[in-house]
Amino acid sequence: MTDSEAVARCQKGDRDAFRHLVEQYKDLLFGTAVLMTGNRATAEEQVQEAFLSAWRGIRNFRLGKPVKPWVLRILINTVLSSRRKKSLPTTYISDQGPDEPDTTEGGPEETLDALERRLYVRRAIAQLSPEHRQVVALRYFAQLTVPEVAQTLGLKQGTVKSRLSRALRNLRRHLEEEDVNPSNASTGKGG
Amino acid sequence: MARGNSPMRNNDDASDREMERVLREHFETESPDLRMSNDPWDWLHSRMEEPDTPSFLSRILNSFSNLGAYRPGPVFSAAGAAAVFLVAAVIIWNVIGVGDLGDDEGEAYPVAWATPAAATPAPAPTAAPAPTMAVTAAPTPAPTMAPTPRPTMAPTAMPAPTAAPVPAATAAPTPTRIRMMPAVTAMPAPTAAPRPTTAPTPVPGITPEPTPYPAAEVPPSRGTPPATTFQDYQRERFVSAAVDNVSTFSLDTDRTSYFLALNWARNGYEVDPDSVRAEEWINAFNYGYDQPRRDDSFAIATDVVRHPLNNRMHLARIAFQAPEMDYDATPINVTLVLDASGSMSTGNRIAIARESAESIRLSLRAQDRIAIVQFSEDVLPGYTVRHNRSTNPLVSHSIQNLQPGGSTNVQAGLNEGVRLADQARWQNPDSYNYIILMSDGVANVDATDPFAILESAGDYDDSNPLRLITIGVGIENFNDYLLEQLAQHGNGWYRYLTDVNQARDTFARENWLALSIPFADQTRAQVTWDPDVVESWRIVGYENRVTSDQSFAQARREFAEIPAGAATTVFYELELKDPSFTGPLTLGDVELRWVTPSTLESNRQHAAVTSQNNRDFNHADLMLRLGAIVALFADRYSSLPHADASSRSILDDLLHLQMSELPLLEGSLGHLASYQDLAFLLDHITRNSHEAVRPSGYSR
Repeated sequence: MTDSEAVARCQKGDRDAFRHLVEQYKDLLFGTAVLMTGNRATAEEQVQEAFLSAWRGIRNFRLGKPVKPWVLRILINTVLSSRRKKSLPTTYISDQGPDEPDTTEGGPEETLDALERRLYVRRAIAQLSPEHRQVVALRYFAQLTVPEVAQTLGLKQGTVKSRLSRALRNLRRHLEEEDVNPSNASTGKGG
Repeated sequence: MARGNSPMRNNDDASDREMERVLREHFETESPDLRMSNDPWDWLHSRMEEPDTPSFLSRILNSFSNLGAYRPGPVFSAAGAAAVFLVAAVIIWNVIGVGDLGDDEGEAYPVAWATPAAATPAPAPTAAPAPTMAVTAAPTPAPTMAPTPRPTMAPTAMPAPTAAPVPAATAAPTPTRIRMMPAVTAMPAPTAAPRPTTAPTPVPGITPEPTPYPAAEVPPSRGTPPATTFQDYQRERFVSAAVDNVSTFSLDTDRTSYFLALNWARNGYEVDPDSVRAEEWINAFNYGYDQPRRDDSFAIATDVVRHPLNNRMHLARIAFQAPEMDYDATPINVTLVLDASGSMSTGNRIAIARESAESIRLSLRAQDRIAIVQFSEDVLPGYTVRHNRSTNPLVSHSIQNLQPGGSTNVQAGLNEGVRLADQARWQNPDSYNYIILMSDGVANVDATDPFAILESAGDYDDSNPLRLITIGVGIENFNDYLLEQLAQHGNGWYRYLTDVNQARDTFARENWLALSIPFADQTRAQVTWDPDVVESWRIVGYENRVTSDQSFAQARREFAEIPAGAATTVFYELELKDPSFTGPLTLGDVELRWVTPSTLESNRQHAAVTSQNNRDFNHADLMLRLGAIVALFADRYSSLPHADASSRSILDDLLHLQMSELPLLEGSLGHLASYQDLAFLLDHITRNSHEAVRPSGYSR
């Protein structure tokens, strides 16, 4: 089932078709939300909310348009809507503690160095300003195109480009300060 | 962003590409960690099954505390309702962003959604209470949200729809009529031309010296009202303490319901009973409660007096006062974004904006900085001042030269304001940063963009957010909805100001800064009545704030945020086992729970609900009486549409409160603008309500 078929069926009230979309996009939304909020529990809740909003708004989705930017846009609105309350102790945060994704599960062949470098990149991303982290998440994690990022965030393409460029430079600078060679940072090749 | 020469750029580009590669690989490696561990489907599926579950949209709307708070009520004229709804729908749609993909694609969604409403034939003007809501809401995908914002928009849109982008001439709805009113008389004349009014903030500590109202203007006292008064309400009913002696509710510092009613009355409209929320009326007034002794807890004051409307009953008042917070020497950066568009020339809008700006300027200290952005069709560079000391002549010059002209481009103004504020924050990271937007209209601006702007400014950096305060002047359009949402999403607050005194008062330093600092969050209270003393009890107002007793233990997001220095009051009507008790009496216990925003600590505080002696209402504290009059009036009036058989006795209550009880306070409180406003409002309401049920005696 293609996305468009699924949406068309959803618009007729088919919940199984929506489940298909949920399966398709839950990890993408979740990863994006984690990158934006830095908290897995919050992210999980917001992904749920976003899907619920998507279901309730799906009748107005224009068939033929790409689904991915649309669901991401809803996710981002969900995250931003809860932003004001985010600093407050919502019950779901309490037992989790500050979280970084679990670092213990590298692939078997991933060396300690590689893990360490991965952590550096993670930290570099985490220290980005929220708006930089957002474009980075959408562009390189969710793999949207620049025009799609612009649409999703309601920004001009030029703004997205300059923001991306600044984010990249910021990341590079940060990694250099950490004495990590960015070229080797992610994969552990060379190093 | 200026770039270097060509070789540099090539180096940068190469590095960018390298960094992009690193990121892509990184995320690829990370992706197993970024998978959702729980299947969202179970949760989702159950939510999708429930047709009556409030949608995300409506929950968002409900969280926009002010306007979301209203229930459907006013009857619109056809075009007015449709036009207002169309605009509201577009705004809401854009703001919530479901389905809107941006400038070039988004328009399809809101149109698709709003069209049925626009095309719906609405009832004739001033017809009987037609269920406009149901008609317009039915075809929408999210029916639950439909009734929420519009009732408030419609009546406010009537006078001078200056900036409406939709057919302005048809956007004016007819005045609201009271529901129970047989539609025989013409609309009540606009009795009160918008009069210059003053700040509705009484000063505390009035000396209790009631003097009677001038005899000529007041009908003789009617004595004790009928005892049946309490039995006919459809709302929160009396609860037998033997059956249930626990009452739990979320505190509320909202007050919009009162000021909207006042605004409607001033403009000659009926006040829709369904718009009246007693707790918001009560909390509109400053009762001058004692400050707490400690700065980490509330002051809880309790009092019990005889009921003013029924001498066999009692009234308990429980007041919660949050402490004022001290301001450290942390510098403040203020960015004023001032609307200099043509519509600001109407009435006293420009004067209010200037006065607000000047008050803010005067409230700043040497270490603080202020910047000004003026905008009409675009930012006015000649009057835009970067962050400077408040004593800089450029600042005063810009404020004094705020002149209306041109169209309204809030987006451009806000954009520039956020840019300057962000700059100031960046230059001085250890500062508080406020953007204060003053405007009367946002009609010609894409409503989604301010959100993108807010968001792009990174103000969800919780450690040091930009706080967006929005000030509406001469709000007579749907734009208050947008201003409110901007504030809500911008970590700030929203007020609308009706005159220069209110402007001055709002922006006195301690006032406006206190509003910006939450003292407590998720604040809820639980009152436990002693069933040996209390026969039955009834909470006045708070209908939508009452929550289950079990939820008291849970820190829920929907519970109220209480700013520093704010007070909340709740009244209970009580039937006591021994109504003629003497001496001190403990009736129960009140517990307050909240979370401290800065430390996320949970707190609780107890107090006994006591009566020192069995005082008559007219011997009680003046401010208690004022609060009780406001509470009972709002409570009775809001129950009017639901009480057919007892409307007479409700009217008796209303008239008694307005004509017999309130005037007794005039000698002591009459100098306060808030008293005058209240007297005017109650008079306006009772006159119209009274006429509504009085047989005319005329032939058809």
